[in-house]
Amino acid sequence: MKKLFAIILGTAVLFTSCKKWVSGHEISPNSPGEANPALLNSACQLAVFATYGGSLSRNTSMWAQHSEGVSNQSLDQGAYIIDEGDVENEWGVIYQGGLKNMRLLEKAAGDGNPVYQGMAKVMSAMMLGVATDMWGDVPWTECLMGEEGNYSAKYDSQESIIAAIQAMLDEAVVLLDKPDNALLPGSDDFIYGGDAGKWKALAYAIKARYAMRISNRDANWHTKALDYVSKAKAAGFTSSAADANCVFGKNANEYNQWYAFTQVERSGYMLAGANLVDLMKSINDPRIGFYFTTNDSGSYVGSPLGSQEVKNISDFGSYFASQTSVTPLASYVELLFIEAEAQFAAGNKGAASAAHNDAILAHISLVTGSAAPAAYVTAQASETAGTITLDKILTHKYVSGFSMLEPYNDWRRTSVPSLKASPLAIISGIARRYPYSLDERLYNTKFPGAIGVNDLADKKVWWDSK
Amino acid sequence: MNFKELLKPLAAAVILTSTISAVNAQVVGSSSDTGRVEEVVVTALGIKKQQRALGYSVQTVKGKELVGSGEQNVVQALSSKVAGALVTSSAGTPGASSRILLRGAATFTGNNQPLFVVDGVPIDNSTDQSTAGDYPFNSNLQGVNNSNRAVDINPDDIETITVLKGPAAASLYGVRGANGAIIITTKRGQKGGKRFSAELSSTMDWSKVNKLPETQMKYGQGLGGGGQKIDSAGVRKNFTGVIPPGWTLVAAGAGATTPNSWGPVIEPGKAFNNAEEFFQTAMSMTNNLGVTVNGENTSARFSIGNTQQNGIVPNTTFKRTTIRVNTDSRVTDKLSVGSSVNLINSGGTRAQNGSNLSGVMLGLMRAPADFNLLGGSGADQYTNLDGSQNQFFPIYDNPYWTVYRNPFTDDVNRIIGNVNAQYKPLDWLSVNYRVGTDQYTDSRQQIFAVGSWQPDNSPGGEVSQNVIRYREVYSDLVLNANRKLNEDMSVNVTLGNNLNTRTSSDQYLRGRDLAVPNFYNLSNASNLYASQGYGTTKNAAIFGGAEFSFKNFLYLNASGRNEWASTFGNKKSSFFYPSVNGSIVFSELLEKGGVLSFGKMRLAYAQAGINPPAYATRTYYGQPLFTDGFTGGLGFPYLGQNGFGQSNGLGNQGLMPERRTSTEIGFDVRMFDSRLTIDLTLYEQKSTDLLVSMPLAASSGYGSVRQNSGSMSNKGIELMLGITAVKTKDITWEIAANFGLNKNEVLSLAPGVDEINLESAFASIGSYAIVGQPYGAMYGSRVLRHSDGSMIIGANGLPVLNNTRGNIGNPYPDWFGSLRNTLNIKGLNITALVDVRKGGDIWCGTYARMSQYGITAPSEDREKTYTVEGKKIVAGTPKYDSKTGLITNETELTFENNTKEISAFNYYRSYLGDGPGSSAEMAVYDGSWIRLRELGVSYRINLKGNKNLSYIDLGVVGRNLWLSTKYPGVDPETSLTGASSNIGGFDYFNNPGLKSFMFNIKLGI
Repeated sequence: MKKLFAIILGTAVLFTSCKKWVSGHEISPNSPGEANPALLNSACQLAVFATYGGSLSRNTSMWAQHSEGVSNQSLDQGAYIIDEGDVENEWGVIYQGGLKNMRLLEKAAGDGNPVYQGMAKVMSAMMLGVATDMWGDVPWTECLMGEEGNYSAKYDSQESIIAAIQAMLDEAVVLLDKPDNALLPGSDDFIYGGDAGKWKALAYAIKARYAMRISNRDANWHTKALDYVSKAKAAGFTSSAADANCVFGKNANEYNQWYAFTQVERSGYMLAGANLVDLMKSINDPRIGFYFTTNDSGSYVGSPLGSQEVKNISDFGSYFASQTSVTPLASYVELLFIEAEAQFAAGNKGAASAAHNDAILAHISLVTGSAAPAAYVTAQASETAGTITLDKILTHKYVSGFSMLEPYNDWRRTSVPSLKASPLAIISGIARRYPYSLDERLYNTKFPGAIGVNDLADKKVWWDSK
Repeated sequence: MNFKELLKPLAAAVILTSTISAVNAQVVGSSSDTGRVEEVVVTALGIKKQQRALGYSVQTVKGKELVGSGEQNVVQALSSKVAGALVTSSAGTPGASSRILLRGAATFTGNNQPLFVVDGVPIDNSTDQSTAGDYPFNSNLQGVNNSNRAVDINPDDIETITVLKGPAAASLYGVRGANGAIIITTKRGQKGGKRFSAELSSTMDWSKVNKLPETQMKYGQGLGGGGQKIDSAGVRKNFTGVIPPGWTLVAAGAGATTPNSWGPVIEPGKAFNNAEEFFQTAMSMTNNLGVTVNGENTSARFSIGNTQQNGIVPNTTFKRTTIRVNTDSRVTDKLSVGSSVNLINSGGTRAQNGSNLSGVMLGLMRAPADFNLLGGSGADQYTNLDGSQNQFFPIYDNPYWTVYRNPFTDDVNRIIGNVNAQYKPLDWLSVNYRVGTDQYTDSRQQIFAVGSWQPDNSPGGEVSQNVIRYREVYSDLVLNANRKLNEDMSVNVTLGNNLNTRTSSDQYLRGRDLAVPNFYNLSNASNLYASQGYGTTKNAAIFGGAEFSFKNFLYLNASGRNEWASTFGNKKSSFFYPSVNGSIVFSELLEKGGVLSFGKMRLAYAQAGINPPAYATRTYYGQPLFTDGFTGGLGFPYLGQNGFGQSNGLGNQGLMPERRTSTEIGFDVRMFDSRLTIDLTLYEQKSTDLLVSMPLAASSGYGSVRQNSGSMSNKGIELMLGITAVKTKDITWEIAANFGLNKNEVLSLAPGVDEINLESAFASIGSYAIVGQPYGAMYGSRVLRHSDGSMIIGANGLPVLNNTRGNIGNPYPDWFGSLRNTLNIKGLNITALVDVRKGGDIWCGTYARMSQYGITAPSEDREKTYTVEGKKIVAGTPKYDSKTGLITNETELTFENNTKEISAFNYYRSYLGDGPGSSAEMAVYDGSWIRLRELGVSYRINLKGNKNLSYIDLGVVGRNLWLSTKYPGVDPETSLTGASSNIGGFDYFNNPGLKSFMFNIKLGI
């Protein structure tokens, strides 16, 4: 009996001591379990830079024929050969890197820090905007619920997404105005250095952009757009100094992504596109030397569609593709072009031409650092109520929008300028969207069905047609 | 986002625990005096058991066989020597890792390799890539060929290896033994052995590349040159004729900025075979000295070994020096003690590999034939006068530049050892205690000279240091009672405990933009980066077992183990798993002296449990890195600011142990006085509650969640056959065959999910688990097919892509086996080992890219047009299924056979190659092979009566002298990710394999 008791006791001691012996090593010494608003904000902004300044910007630049893919993967991308497995990084940065951390920023900031909350909402609206512009119907109302154990989000209609973007920006404007913040952004805000007023102006500029985006679907879009443009200006968006830009630095992990791709890591993959180079040459545009380099014989030559020639084709210039070049997120110039297009739609051709002329002059002075040459002003930036056309507005917006996603979005919406598809295309025209991401097809049980590499010309997003 | 949450050694490995092996563990040879077989093997728990008592399959390999293979990596040396053990070498470069799988892959994202145990103490066999914390991609796809750490074991020190193939054998090794165990027993002195003996052996080895993709030497660098025939428009002459729309002629020479070999015909005598020039005949040397002293109560063996391997890639090496001291002492009649100490220094200069701008094969195999990689104007020929690289395309490092200017070196100092004591208070009772350790420091340095392209294309140069530290402390205490109950029955009871702590750390320091060229110190860098990680895992276990035997005829074993692990969340901290096995020696029932000399049937059932990896229970924050896959991306610190985001990997407090259940039945039959031996095992293994990093749709906000999910089965056959065909006084001829067949099937994943990505790989292809398919299925872009299987061809004459990706290959072979013939004529020993692998697909990304660039041998035939066989749609608009991507309205469409002629350029670029519009499917090839793995001749000269020398052994061995395969790339025994990953069957500019010739001399005293 004693023996048995000793065995039971001994076993119990062994079991307890084994348990004790292994305990205390559950938590990782390598990563923290929480982060403050400033740290989250920096991460969110970087996600925005990656989305607006990375491959989406380059690929849509090829599709808008600002650039041309001449070798390797850029050749595929330029010919619209992008399949479900090629878009997971971009999709992931938007939802995992961007939207999720923006939501966590709102939560971490709490009601005591409305400015951080407002910034998070503006950034969320911008990320969701890119998602819907490129993919159409996307998850929103049920997304980002992984931590609660819901791994499958339904896809919301693009119409409802754009309404959500507008509503979110309205909320942001209110939050950004609120005083009494326990914490205020500072150097963690790469875009505006913590200036809440500028964020408010940006919120209106994005509202104007998305009011215009649905011009094919909303007959009254111009009234709303003009309202948002004037509110943006009233909030301080009155010069290029108020531009929201992706800002970059001199270390490899800070490089402008056009620079990183075209000058460092993938040099020779994509070069200047003939369509834009020829257009700029035809109007003697003073920006051409800032956009592009000259070739060996000292001239600007863009690559023709589908060409694989790399010799003697112009590369990208220092304005957009140096280490620290900015990539615009939303600009004063864009705001003026939105104003011009909206005024034109409203029938106010005089106001339209004034905004158009201002936009061109502002961009030339921003890019070249000096005023436009007189001859150029006469030929291109002296439109009047009598001479202004929608084509002129959109064509100049197309030129000034280099490195942004807007020229491609505008082309889809308006078919200006007129572009023909790459001869290497395997679909019936220029791609008008991205394919849905592979991870969604495989792991989201509410996935609506594949839109793949063969569908990119046909399955337009909602705002792309009337 | 990429978080380096934990250290690679821990991340890769499934966790902990293991057991003992007996003092003086050895395999004793057979003594067939009565035709009865009394072989003894070392098993789990280190206890020597009679083979007849075992209820599960084991296979032993003698040290002699390992040494005879000439392989310095013990894992590679096991190749084709164990039935059902699938060994895959990553490359033929010095020290390159090899991966071993027993009975297939059993888990999705955890470790699938068996546990390595040396003299009773588990050792680390991980393969680590050096990775900076800010590297966003899968580092296994690039970098250098690193070693699996079992490479540190000197094969010459090994007496035997016992391979315990299933959890039946390994259940008592705990969690880490769930994939089987490789139990290494080193040579020791023997009580009663020869008082003093010594052996000195020396081996010289000459190696060459055994296989390279074949290239064309007719057309040079450029685009649009040569006599390429375009569509049906006619044959063009060089530099003249019609240039296809959209592309123009680029000639080779100065300023040619294309990697393509679609240029003009090379003038006679101006073509260079860069690959032939580059690879060298490598000479290696291995020396070993072993000294054994056997005293009355103490015996000891001392050995020192050194190997100096040189690579076929110039300036690559692997060096290893080992010192081992094994001692055994009988202190009193009841107490004996022993120790093993092994000191190792290993390392060398590694070869750059894979998807890597410095990759040796990348720059070499893409080089156009009219470009001489050694044609630079600089003194060393691979550079120009201005000091820049001599390059045919700006971003590819010249391979000579890489090997001479960009060395990656590693230096490992390791100690493996244990001390043990056995106390036998009573005849039938013993207590064993063993404490052991395995610890190493792996110091690595990578240099990229100023002007190199690889380090994120920062031509400013780089020096980086990576220090990996690993320490395991292991102990076990085992009580063993062995009682005869009566004449016929005996029982053997074991009770034990073991404790195990493993800690590792990884420190990475990088300096870029070097101020003074050719000076490699972090002090010279203007841009510094550092990252670090630590990990600790602890396991503890209590185990017990009982073995009953009846009349040397019936054996029954039962065991159980309760295990605690430090890695669980709040739901679980310990788990229990049992095993039962038994055997019947049915030959005991038969008359002695018949045809059957021995016959046994065995049956085993075992479970194993596996705890989660470290730090999987929580969701952490960290510095995010955002990349689109084409650049190094944006990361922190950014403009002087830090930033944290939440990890994409969701933790889970509710993790449970993964379970593995295995059943096997086996027969061990020996006939004709053991001249014919057959050992057959049929097994079935099912893994459930798999601990998996389950991928999620990004819209959930996360990329993956740790959970117990899915199940997978492995069913297979292992057969070992031995025939002594001739046995006379002077001549013996022995035939030994091994055969393994494993059918793996993924049974389930997660609700609503039937395909998951296992590990991120290339943009066009990944490694997946798909329900109903074997594990590790290749998943990538594919061709749209008609329901009759034919390809749908588009208006451009090329196959139309399917809207969805899918399964395009299976990397694991259908079966594999080997046949060894050994002929011994009066001491002259001739042995030949033929190795067969049937099936097993390989994605040859190398060949696809070479096709695109027009440098493969078939692409020389370009003065003609090609027509891709398939169907084109001539009427109707196809609709596609949203899941499978297949055409849903086939009956509404009109098809005709494709007749569209396309140019050789389009055919090789976009059909066979990986050019625009191509599919990964076209680059998947059958990796079957037959090879003569070893051919050896040896002779022993016995010097009877000589005072100083008792024998001289002379031997020559040829390795891989003959290889037959249809695979178009390098030797199909290749794996881009080596042993550091579960991905199999990827070849993207992998370094090639070897054929070797060795000469060996041994002097014995």
